[in-house]
Amino acid sequence: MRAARNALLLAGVALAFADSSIVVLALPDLLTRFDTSIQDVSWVITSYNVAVAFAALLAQRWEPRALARAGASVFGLASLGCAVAGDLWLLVGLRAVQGVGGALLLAAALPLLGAAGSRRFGLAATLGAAVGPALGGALTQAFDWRAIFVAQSPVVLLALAVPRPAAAADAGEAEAAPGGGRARRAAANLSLALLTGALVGALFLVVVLLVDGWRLSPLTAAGVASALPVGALAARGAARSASRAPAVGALLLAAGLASLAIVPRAAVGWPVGGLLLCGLGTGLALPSLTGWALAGARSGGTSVGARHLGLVLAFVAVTPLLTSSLSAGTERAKLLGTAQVLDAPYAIRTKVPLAVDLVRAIEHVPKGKAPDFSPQFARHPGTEGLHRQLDETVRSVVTRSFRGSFLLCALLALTSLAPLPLARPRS
Amino acid sequence: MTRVLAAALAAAAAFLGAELAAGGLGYGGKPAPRPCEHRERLPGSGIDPLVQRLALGALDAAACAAGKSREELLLELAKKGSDLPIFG
Repeated sequence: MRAARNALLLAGVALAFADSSIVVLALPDLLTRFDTSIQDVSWVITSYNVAVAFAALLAQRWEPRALARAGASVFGLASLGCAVAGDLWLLVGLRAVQGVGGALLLAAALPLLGAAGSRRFGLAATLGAAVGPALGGALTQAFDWRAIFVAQSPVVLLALAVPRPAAAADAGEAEAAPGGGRARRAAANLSLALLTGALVGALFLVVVLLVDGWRLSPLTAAGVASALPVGALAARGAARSASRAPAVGALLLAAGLASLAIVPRAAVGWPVGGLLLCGLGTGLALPSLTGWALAGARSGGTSVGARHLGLVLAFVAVTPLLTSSLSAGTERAKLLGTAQVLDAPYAIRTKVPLAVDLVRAIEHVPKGKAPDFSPQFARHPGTEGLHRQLDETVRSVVTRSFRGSFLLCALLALTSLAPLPLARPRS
Repeated sequence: MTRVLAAALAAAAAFLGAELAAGGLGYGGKPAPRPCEHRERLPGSGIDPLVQRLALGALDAAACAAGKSREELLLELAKKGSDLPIFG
């Protein structure tokens, strides 16, 4: 009975972490539904992560079982509210409430699972975060963005099945666990925050590139994004037994993010390879590092807060870099595309009306989204070659515009290596 | 286990090497056309290509005098002329 309750709690932990990124593939749908800007719609993600970061830090002193019950109830009910929200800012507010619920659940989970459960907590957190974009993308394409929140509402039932806190002997084990000590936990949490910040590249940037830059469907993008949890699962065995796992994991994550920065073509095989590396790195580093950060801690609140704070701060750093780079890229793509139209070997009677159509189309492209010229070219038979050329130009320039942001994330992954010597527990 | 980790790092290095070998550094980095840059002549014979070559030559000269590429000038003109009937 206790094992089943623990498994349910771990599923709740995974879901609360998945929610950091679960709506990323639904953003284009939300953008259309609420007829708003990318900046405004991104608050649907940000509000959740900010709420988790701060609520987790504040929620540490309460009795864990009551905390978990309250967290599951708030999370589940807020999910239902999100599913029926008819206004963007109501959705943003309810996502923040959902984040508070998620934070309470996460902060309570460790004392309930006990020291022996810290590794399982780390694994659930890693897999949950990795599977988020793929899960959300699949639900959005199969049904609607609202399905993401409907599917999460049964978490409220978890309130009825919260396990008792781990036995006193287990708690004692937690106090005596190797690696305990405030300074070591602080170093582990710092490393965790930097590593989670780096994951912005693998959880968000790559998905935005695939959907808005390469114009893949949410389901195809979800398929590509599923390489991340596959990699994380593949690393499971190695992560359990190697003390160097966090350092090697951080290096693999940095390599995966760097590989996403230099894809040589807009073909899905390259990001799949990069995300597999990111998944391997995440699966190696995060469970062990979470274990180090939680060793001897009474609650998981600080660790959860550090992770989400890392995510939010990385967002804050990456967003202006990507926005300015995309803006410059858009201008360059316009000039390169114009040159291709002027140099195209077509007669004036084809070229001029096509050019006029294209200029009109460019004026109506939503900011931050790659243009789809298919309707314009469909009106001008015999111009398929130029259509392919223009599409490739746009895709290549947009891909290049993401380079700086991916490299910044890779740098964060490398920076997470610095606190590791202080975080490593004495054997 | 150390061997597994070393193999994973080697695989990552090989993947990055494959991307570099396939031209990953240069992908999407083609620079925008520069002002007064030499352009290839539009190929073809007959009246249509000739008219286009003349029009592009005139556009090149005007753009160069204004310190812009012909694409920049054309897009500026298109923007200014978007109220004209031809741009709907």
